[in-house]
Amino acid sequence: MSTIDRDRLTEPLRTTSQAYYVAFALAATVSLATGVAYFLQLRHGFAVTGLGDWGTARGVPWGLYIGTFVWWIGIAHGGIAISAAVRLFDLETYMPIARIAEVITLIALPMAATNILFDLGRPDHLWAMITNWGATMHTSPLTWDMTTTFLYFVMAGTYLAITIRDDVRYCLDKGMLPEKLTPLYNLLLWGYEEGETVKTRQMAWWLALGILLLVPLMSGGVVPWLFATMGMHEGWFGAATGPAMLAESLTSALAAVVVTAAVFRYAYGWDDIIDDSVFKGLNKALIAFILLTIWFLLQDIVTGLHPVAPTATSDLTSSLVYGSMAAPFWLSMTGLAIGLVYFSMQALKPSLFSVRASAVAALLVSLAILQKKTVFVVEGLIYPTQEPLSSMFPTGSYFPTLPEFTMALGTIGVAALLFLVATKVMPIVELQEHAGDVDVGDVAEAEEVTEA
Amino acid sequence: MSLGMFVIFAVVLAPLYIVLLGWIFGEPREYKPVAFGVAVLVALTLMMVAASIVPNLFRFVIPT
Repeated sequence: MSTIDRDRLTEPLRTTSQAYYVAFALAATVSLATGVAYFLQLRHGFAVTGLGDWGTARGVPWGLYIGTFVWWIGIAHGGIAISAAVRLFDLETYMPIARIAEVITLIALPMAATNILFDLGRPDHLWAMITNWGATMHTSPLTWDMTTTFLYFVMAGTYLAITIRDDVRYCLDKGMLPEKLTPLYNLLLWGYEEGETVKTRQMAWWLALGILLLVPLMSGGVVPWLFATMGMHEGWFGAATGPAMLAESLTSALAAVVVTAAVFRYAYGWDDIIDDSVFKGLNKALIAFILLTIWFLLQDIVTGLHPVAPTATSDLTSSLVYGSMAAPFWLSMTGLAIGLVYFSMQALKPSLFSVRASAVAALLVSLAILQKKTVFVVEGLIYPTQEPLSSMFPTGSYFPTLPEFTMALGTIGVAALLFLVATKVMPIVELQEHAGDVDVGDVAEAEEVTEA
Repeated sequence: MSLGMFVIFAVVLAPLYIVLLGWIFGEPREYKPVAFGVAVLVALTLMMVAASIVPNLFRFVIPT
């Protein structure tokens, strides 16, 4: 790779456009609003939200915060899963977006945790979850969830730390990185040797395998188990919840990667670096995952509306299809349908493809999944359709308030702010890998190249 | 063994076991980068636990 190419790839580190400042100001404003809303909630309690006690109080204790938490967890998967798949299956086409995807994961996981913090009420409850780990881990799916999220973050962070060392060394030598953070970079480069590339690639390969194994364990495992083990809530219980939730998560995650990659390509004129083939491939994957998501939904709806369906299931399904939950449910279905129609049409007729349209369609799909996740969380709590609960408790009601919207959706602004900062402290595209001079899947070949 | 112990130590942590075994026994066997990798894993875990203490400071603002 020529120096000129590397200069282009490190452009985010060296130059700051007017658009960057505008984006930074917008993201900072949204983050500030999120902070103010959280302060209001801390000061006045959950009275400022639409949440309430479940049961006789006709409230819903889990709402937009938990829906957004599940959504962020899903986004986190697509990020590093793409990067891991690139390394594991030698998908070099997607190498330019690998690190962007890794950073998405490392930002999305804290945003998921932040939404849990919002929902906990007193933030110090988080510490109680940790100190009680030894006692609660035996039976609590919430503890399993927290443990897996910790593990996922730690493995994703280690993956980035291992794969970024070459690039940090290069950028540090060229004086491209912020001087104030030099001690941190030196710590990252502890024990670094030029010849370690082969071993670090091998280590990254194993980490990629571990991370890909964790994806179904998390979005298709501990997160749905969190709901499915509370069988008294109709709509949550069932073995298919895991695969269905995994399909939804991967759909929204791929969509988030499409949007982020499109923003980078537009911002830095990287049309030749993140080329059309990257987006066309992701769009095809999105068709498959949207169809999978709809297929699981179809299973729920057809069986739930059938005359011989259990009463509780029938009541809940009809409320989604033509009852009081129909508006949010069909809104999310519309977003998925628009995305599916566009991605399918551009696959059949390539002249319809454009990166901008792909980004808009992907954004709609991701927001549709956010809506679907929130509907899923609320539907299990709003209808006490199972006996004896249905005879004891009235139907609940829930609509998020302005502080809830500000805080839950504000985490998107906080994530954008963190992403903007990340582009200034690390090379956002893998300099070594993008050179095309190393086969990511073949350690032996990599060794030859390194020696050369 | 409780269900939770099985879920965490036999299922959730299995990918980590695989990674560590791959690092240690995979070729080429160089242990300095492995030491760095393990140090990062441990450091990030400790950082996450330490970060969880921050919200705990709230109890000094509004006592329980």
